[in-house]
Amino acid sequence: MKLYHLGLFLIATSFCKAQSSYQFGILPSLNINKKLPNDFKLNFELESRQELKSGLFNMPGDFNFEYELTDFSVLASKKIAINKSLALGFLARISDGKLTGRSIQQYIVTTRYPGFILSHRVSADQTFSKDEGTEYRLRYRLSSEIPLNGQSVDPKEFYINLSNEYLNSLQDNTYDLEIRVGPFLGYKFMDTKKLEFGLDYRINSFLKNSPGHRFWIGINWYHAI
Amino acid sequence: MRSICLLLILFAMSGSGFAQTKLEKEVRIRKKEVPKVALSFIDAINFTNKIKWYKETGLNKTSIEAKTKYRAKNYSIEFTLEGILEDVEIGIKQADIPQNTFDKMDELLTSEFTRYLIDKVQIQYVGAPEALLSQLRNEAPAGEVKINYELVIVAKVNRVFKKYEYLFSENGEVLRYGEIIVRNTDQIEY
Repeated sequence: MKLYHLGLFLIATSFCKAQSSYQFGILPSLNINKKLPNDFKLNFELESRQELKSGLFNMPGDFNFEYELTDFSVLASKKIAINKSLALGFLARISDGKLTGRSIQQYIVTTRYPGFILSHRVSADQTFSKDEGTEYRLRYRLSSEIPLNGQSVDPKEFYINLSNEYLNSLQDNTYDLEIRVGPFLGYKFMDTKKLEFGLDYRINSFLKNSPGHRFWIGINWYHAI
Repeated sequence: MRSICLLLILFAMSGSGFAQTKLEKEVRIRKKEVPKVALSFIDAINFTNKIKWYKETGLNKTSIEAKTKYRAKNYSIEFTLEGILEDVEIGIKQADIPQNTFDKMDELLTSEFTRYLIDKVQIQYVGAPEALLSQLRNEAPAGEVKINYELVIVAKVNRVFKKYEYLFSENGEVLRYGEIIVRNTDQIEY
């Protein structure tokens, strides 16, 4: 809880700084999950960022649609307990005509409580590109699914998906911390089809420089086959 | 962007998801939707915390359920749609089950599964409303109360983790069991 308050404090104080930059855009994603025998699962994700506006907070800016990047990732996971799983995968990023690769390792614990579900995700990734040094990241994300009716989310019901993530990154001996907050409204068409809409807010560079704020309107489709 | 939109629409329109059998669907209902006879029973217990009312739809029946926390335990009181009392379930610890009864349960579960973990234990009281009322108020028995135990366990079957619900009698005999279909939580994991 203290970490959460620290995050909110950092976000609030960072707005007060001059020269804070912002980026606003849309971030649709398609998430497909395929169950395999013996508690193995494959997760495919396609995510694309489109910028609508960017600049400095204290300066006026115009709307300008600009395609930024597309990520395609594949994760293979294995349940190691009824509520715990390990995942390994790879992400390919296409941005400015360049291809970047990222290897991913994840440990996920999902716990059901009366009235909500909590998921802890500890993740490490390494990003490789030709032009820059390898970026190493260690991430922790807490997500919760809160039904808007009853004690669990049933088909044809709305829910809230709240997430808070802390990303530590190290690249060329430079450390940075990024904090993400994601309040989303979801609708479960059936257990295998869910649609979420909300804001994905990210802040970074606030430890040593002027912070960078990024606001993405997220539209996520989850499909299990 | 155009191709992503097209993919989203295509997936939204497809109906290829595998159907899962759900054990129950709970919908929160208002107090005024609850039959008076059920409300009277709950009022007579004098619970101190807020009562939450649900309509529970299972595979074969629909019922009304009152849930609350009382003396640090989770209470669940089930009624028919007409308000007739069906049973009272209270969350307990494994250690609260008499040793002889638990030994019988364990014997059966060990014969079924190589290894299992207990996820949840509830004591179930079944009987006439006045008998259950006296039981809940810790008063002198006002009729026969049947005691059952409900266990939710996790076990690995054919290399797959599964959840099961077992209902045992007071003597440790199996009355009913079934697999719990675990809901998909991909959206908060990935």
